[in-house]
Order: sequence, then structure tokens, then C-alpha cells
Amino acid sequence: MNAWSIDWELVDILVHRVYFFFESGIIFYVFTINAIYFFLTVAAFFCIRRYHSVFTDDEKDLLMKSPLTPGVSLIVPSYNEAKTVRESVGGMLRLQYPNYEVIVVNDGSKDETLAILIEQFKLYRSARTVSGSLHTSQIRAVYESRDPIRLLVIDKENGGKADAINAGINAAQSPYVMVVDSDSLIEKDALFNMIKPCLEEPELTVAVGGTVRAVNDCDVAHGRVRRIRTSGSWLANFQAVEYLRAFFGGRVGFSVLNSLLIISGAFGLFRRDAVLAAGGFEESTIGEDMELIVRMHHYYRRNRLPYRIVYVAQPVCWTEVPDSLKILHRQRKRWQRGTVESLWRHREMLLHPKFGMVGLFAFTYFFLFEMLGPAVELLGYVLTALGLAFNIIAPEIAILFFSVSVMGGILLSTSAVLLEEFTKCRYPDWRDTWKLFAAAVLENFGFRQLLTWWRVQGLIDGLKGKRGGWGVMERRGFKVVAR
Amino acid sequence: MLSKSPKKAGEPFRKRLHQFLLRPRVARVVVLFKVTVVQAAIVLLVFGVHQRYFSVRYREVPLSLAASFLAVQAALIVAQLLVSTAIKHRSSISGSDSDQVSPTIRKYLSAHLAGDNHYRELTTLSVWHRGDVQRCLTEFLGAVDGGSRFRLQELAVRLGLPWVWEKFARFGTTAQRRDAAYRLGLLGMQEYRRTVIGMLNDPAPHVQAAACRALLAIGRSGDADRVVRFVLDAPLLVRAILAPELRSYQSAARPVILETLSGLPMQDAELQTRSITALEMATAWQIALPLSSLNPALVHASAQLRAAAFRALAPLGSTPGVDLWIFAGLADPDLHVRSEAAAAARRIRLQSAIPALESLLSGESAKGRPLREACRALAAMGPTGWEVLEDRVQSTDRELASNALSALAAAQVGSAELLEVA
Repeated sequence: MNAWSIDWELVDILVHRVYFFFESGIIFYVFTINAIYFFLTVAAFFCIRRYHSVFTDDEKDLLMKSPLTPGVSLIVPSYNEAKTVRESVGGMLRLQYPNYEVIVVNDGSKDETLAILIEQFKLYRSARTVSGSLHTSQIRAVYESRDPIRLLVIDKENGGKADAINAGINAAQSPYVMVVDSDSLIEKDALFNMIKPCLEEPELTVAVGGTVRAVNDCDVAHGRVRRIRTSGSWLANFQAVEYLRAFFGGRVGFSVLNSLLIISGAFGLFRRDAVLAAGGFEESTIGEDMELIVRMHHYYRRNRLPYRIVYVAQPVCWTEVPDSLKILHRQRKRWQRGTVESLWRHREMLLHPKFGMVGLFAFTYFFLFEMLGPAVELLGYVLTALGLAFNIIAPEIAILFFSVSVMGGILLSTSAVLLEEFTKCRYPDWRDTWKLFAAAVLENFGFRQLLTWWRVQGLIDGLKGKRGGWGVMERRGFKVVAR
Repeated sequence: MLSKSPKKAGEPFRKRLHQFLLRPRVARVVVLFKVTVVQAAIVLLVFGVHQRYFSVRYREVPLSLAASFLAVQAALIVAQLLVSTAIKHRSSISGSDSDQVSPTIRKYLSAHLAGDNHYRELTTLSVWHRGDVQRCLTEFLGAVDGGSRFRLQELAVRLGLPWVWEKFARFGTTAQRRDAAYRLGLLGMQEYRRTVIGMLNDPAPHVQAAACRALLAIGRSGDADRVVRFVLDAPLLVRAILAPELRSYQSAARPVILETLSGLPMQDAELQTRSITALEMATAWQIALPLSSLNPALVHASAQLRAAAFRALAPLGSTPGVDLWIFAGLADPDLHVRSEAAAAARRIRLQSAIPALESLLSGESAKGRPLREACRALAAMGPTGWEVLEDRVQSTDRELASNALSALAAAQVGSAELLEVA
């Protein structure tokens, strides 16, 4: 054999070794991510009843009369929400809480959002102005109601969701602000359940997150969900399971470890002075909700100030999830981009002991698994396909390892569906539970892979620093029924 | 002695251990330990299945382990589905059972209150529907008084309910302990006073609040004083829940608040916090404290304490000396204190403060809360104050103009027309 001839046997061995090295790495990666998430989910089982008790009716009556119950300003950023704003704002004005105001910020909507608000709530253009320390795009007008309701509508130039929220924070007069999406419905006693951690430790608690769930095909009347049910659309059901997994499985666990890195932008309560100290919501990022929380952790830990950011399972915000692939695609790319931007901005926290459990565990988890996870998963699918195509691995082995990975995902989802049984807002019908279990299984055959691909696109966009807006969010509107 | 609590050896240690385990940090560690045990159990189960079954089928260990893992996961998923269905089924049955049996329980309780003896029927119902009997009895206890109440107390004791509640009070979950405190309070029997007093040391604020309310309901003399002292050191959640109930115990609260404030010239941080809480409660209950007791707080180095003291000035009305303090507050270096002084001026309608309030409409106070409070105070002064505000409505400072207009609109009739822009 001359020096230039290729030893194919050697090459074959090398290829096999490299292949198994990467494949083993990916299997280990998937196993680790599932193990951590399972750890968080099991922690949720032990915590969800212990830490997430609600006020009794008697206690709520007393808090309604108590002069010590703190005021809350509900900030509702709206952009092109004509289909849902009437129901959602109407529901927010009928909450059970003694001292709150609703501030709707119309962020330059191009549809009839403002006209609907004016007509529905008898608004007039007020001479009142809004000013504060957070910079926002120009305020065009402020509207108040002729009726004795505490509603303020700010009409402003379009500046994005973060900009709209900052305008609301400037206008807020209460010590706490709660950000709620205008396509969402919140439970009547949601404010009580959200303010509870703040009443327990007012000096420490700077932010509280609640649960967001899918309202598609639930019966809605007068701004309230009257009957909870699964959707006729499997796409919506897959997302319903995903939300249960993310909130009941993931966030309860992170909250117990005081390392919650995200509070949903659709439903979060903040101490106003804490948000101002951290600089308000950041306009230049698409994931403003996560970015603020990470920044708050950064701020408080860097300055060695005591604080806590918690999640409470019981208060629920119902929102319409996309039931078209096109809208879902845009949403998931945006979410992944937001994750990348938020983590990249605060990358000094990664594995930094100064940031405690947040830097050592939560940030690292999000960096390695939430941010890079889709790319690793996609690589796993590609390697498995290549392995099968070139007979590097036997089909039974590929199926076995794929099944273990898929089963792990199914187990996490079904655990979250079971956790839902321990909360107040349960699906009443056993058929809904079985449908969710079916969705937990079926989502792993196509839906999850599609999400992975979209998230990889979002990851690439995020790493490239690509700026982009929210796109057009088409709404079906709530399924309003006669009471 | 009507109670039926059995005494067990070692109970004080069990109770102390339970209290220790309820502390937040310890509870967190306990949760992490439980999670680790569960995960270890699953890993052992996987290895067990691998050893017993799959190692025979698959020679390669990784394959056998993967197959075992798959089997265990599948079993867990099926188990979860069954548990979930069982929970749903049970709650729908107990819901419909409860709907059927509750009217019967209420009927027997009403008849029992009227003098009939339905102890036997209620005992039988209590065996199969304990939760419903407890719930209905609690409703009745909250609604009756006098002789009927005594009959209900006797019935509850004969059914063994106080013993159940005491057990939950010691060893239940947070919700169970809270409900136990609430029910023992409704029962109102002196025999359970010690148990309720012990619950004041519970780590959960919900339970502390319920125990305070129960102690007030059981009501021996001196207990109101004990509750007020407890509340001054309790979390805000306890104070917020109890504030409406403690309004009728002002005679007990006043001496405790005065005693707390009497230690004030000291710089102790804990005492300052306690004093702020005491002033906050005095404000909430509209208790008029003597000006002499507020003086040390009004000049204290802590701005937070000074602000709390100004909030507590309002119930004093136009007592001689209050006006001088308000003038001093309006000139305070801290903006938060100035805001509170302006709010106090508004509440007592101190006309002589108008010039001092006008000075807040310019300079560093002319933004945010100080500006808002100054405008509101001027608006509350009547025509003289309105004149000052009307001059500011045309100001080039938009925030000042807006606040002046809003304050005028709130004070005058036809507010919408005043604020509306054509």
C-alpha cells in the first residue's frame, strides 16, 4: 500500500467513533435536560399545595375592607386588539379587589381598538397628562371615563410592547403594577392571589408571576371564563399541554429555588419602585418580560440587596393561543429570539458565583438547554437519520433511544396534566383530561419537531442580532356565550 | 371538661419538630430531599427492572437500561392517567354527594338547634360525610348565638370535631391549620384557647391571622391586648386581614401603640420598624394619639418613621400644635415626608397651610407624588385653594397644569366637563 492510499477500514472506525461520540453526547444531553425538568416537576408536586394556598372568602372580605391592602395599577398594553379588548377590559373592571385602577395603553393600533374603548366605556379626551421617569414614545392623548370607573386609556405613538408598558408605569399611582395582555381574561380574584406574596414579605418581594392558560373554545361571558374545556383544535391542545408543563412543571420548581428567570409578560405583578430602580422594561429587545426579570436578578444580586421573585400557581390568566401554524411560527421564533437576547445581554451571570443559584443553576440551565437545546435536538435528529442511512446504527437501537427521549417528554407533559388536578381551575370533565393526555403523546410526533425547527430559526436570528417586530397577530376572539 | 383530646407521649417534641419543619428554609430543604428520594426510587426501579427482566433479553447493558427506562416511564404515564381520572371521578362523586347530603345535615342541625335531639343521625352522617358535617356545622356556628350556640358546641364536642381540629392545628397542611384555627375560634370554647395561642407561633401568616381572629372570638380579657402586641410584629398579611376586625378593639390597641412609641428616641432599628407598624395601625384604625407621643417620631432621623407619623396626624384634626408640625413637614428635606404632610393638611383642611402648599408647586417638589398631594390638598381647601390651582392650570409645566386641573375636577361638581378636551 502506498502512502497516498486511504485505509477505508480506518476511516470507517473513525467515522463510527466520531458518530457515537456525538450521539452519546446528545443522548446524555437529552437525558440531563429531562432529568432536571423532572426534578423541577417532582418539586412542583410537593410545593403546589403547600406554597400555593389561596385566600378564603372570609379573608377576601376582610381584605376588601382593610385600609392596609395595597393598591394595584393594571397596565394593559394593546395593539390591534379590537376583537378582544371589550371583553378583556370589561372583565378587568369587575375584579374583586378594593383598590385598583386599569390603565390601557393603546400603542398606535391601526384597527378600531381605541374606538371600541371609547364607545364601550364612555371615554372622553382628558386634559390630564402622563409623565414619569421612563422614556416613552409620544403620548397622543389621554382618555378617562364619564362613568365612575377607574379606567385610564393612554393613546400613544407605536413604540412596542415594552414602551407601552413603560408609559403605563409612568401613569400608575399605585405601589404595585400588574401587566396583563389585552387579549387575556383574568380570574375575578386574581389580584388577591397575585398580591399574596407581597403581603407576606412586602420588603423582599419585587415581582410575582401567575399562570397563563389557553382559553380557546372555553365559554366566556362578561369577561370571565364560565366553562373550561379543551379545544376542538389539536394545535391549541398541544399548546395547552405545553403551557401546563412550562408553568406547573418548570416555574414552580424554579420559584422554590428563588431562581425564576421569567415571568410571563401576559400576567406579572411588580413592585413599581423595583421596576423603576431596574430601569423599566427594555424597548430594544423582543423578550422584554424575560429581560426585565433577568435584569432585576442582576441588579439585586450585584448590589447585594435582599429580594425575591416568585411564581404562584393559583391566579390564572386565560389567553388565546395561536391556532394557525403561521402565527405560531412567528410567535415561537420571537420567543426564542427574546430568550437569546435576554441571556446574551446578561451573559456575565453565567456560572458566576456572585449571582448565587440564579447564575449557577437557572441561568446556566436556560443558556445550555433552553437557548441551545433546539439546535442540539435538531442535530440529534440529523445524526440519527444519517446513522440509519449509512447503517452506522441498527434501526432497533435508534427506535429505542428515540422512544426513551420521546417518553421522557411525554412523562413531563402528563405530570403537568396531573399537577393541574391540584389547582383550582381544573378541567371539569374526565374527557378533557384524556384529550390532554392524548395531546401530551401526540405532540411528540411532528409538533415538537416543528417547534424545534422554528426555535432554531429564532436562535439563528437572535445570534445574528436580527431586529424584528411582533408581526400581525390574528385573533379569533373569545367564545362569548350568553350568561 | 368537654374536650376529648387524647394525650400521647412525646407530643411536645413532635409538635416542635413539626414547627421546625414548617420554617420556610427548612421546608425548602425538605422538599429538595423528598424530590431526591423520589428520583432515587425511580432510578432504583429502573435498575430493578433491568436486572430482573431486560438484562436477559438484551446483552448490552445500555440497551437493557434504555428498555427498562422506557418500561418504567410507560408505567408512570399510565399510572398518572389513572390517578388523574380517579381524582376527577372522586371529585364529581363527592360534589354530587355533598349536594345531596348537605340539605339533610342542615335540616338536622336546624332541628337540633330548636331543641330536638338528632345526635344519632348526625353521628351516622359524620362517619360517612365528615367534611360536609364539619362544613355545615361551621356555617351554623357563624350564624347563631346564645343558647343555640351552646347546643352546637355540645354537639361538636360529642361528634369529636374539636379533637380533629386540634390535630389538624398541630400537624395539618397550611390550609388545614388555618381552617382548624378558624373553626376553633367559631366554636368559642375556653378549653381550646391554649391551642389557639400556640398557633400564634405558626410560621404561616395565614395561620397566624386565623389564630388571632380565633383568640379574639374566644375572648378572655387580656387577649385583645395579646393580639394587638402580636400584630405589631406580624407580617403585613396578618395586619391587613386583622385591621378591619381590630377596629372594635381600639381601647386595647391604644395603650400598646403608646407604649411602643414611648421607646422612640432610641435608634434601635427593630424598634423603629415596630414604631412604623404601630403608627400604620393607628392610622388604619383612625386612633387619635396624643401629639406628645408623636413628637419623637415627627423629628426622628428616619424619614420613613417621620412619614408614618404625619400619616397618623389626621385623626387629631385641628388640635393645637398640629398646624405647626404640618408646616414643619411641608418644609421637610425628604419629599416623601412632604407628601404625607400635604396629605395630612388635606385631611384636616388646614387653611393656614395654603401658602406652604403653594410653595410645593415649584422647585424639586413640583413632580410626582409631592405635587399630586399638594394639588389635592389645595383643592380640599375650598375657593382660596382653588384660586391657587386655577392660576396653575395655564402653566407651561404640563405636569403641574395637569395635576392642578385633575385636583380641581375632583373637588368640583361636573368634573368630566372640566377635564374634557374639545
